[in-house]
Amino acid sequence: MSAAPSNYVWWLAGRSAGIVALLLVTASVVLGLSMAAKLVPLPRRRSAGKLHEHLALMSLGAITAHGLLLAADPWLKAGWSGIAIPFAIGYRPVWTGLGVIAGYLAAILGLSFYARRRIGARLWRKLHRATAVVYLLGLAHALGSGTDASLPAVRYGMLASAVPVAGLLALRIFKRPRKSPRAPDATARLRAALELEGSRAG
Amino acid sequence: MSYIPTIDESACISQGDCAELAPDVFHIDSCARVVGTGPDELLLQAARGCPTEAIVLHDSETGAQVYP
Repeated sequence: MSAAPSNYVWWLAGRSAGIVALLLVTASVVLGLSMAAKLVPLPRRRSAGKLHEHLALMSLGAITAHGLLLAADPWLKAGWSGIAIPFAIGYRPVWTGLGVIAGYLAAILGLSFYARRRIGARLWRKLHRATAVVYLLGLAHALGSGTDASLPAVRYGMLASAVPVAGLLALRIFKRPRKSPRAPDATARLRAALELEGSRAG
Repeated sequence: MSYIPTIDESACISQGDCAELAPDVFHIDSCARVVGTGPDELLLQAARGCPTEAIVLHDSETGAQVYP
């Protein structure tokens, strides 16, 4: 087979989707950590939150495209088991396996936001904090099995993306806000006042 | 008209913007809690700023929900 790009369309498209996925995950994680560290001004936080959500959803789309394109690649011959089962593929199984795990975690942790009423906000917050692991596994996958990571510019660019993530993560961990002192819950008293008001009016 | 805020605990993600905007009204623990009251404009601003619409406002006179 000649080296013409048209012979490697699936491979090229799969690599592109993978790079886009890593960029989107990085952007979403950086924005999320920035909001958690209160670096985003208060008036902008709601729109920042929406952007964070959209970046996460787009990254799920890119991850899915990355997997499907590589599964269809006639040269890689990964097949569905290769992209769906961690460490099952013959091509750099450890690094590729980490990517498969990262993909599953991204879907579970990201989409858990929409199930938080069912699973409870407390469990959702714990799951959400683990999202940084998705970035770490994705980065390891890209560096270990990504074809383009052999290029110094791409490799060092990927490593450079870890700097803001690590800094913001440290900020989040070591600058954790103190819990508010216990104060009487005014909601119950207010509800009682409303009920009393209602019974008097009736 | 005055508003009474309550928290939908199943929606709250403890982002804390409400407590930052109105610390006399909201405290953040494992979930946001209402600990006081404040001007209607402030309560509405806090409710609108909540990313998950976890702050519910009721009219204190009629009990009708005014937000969201």
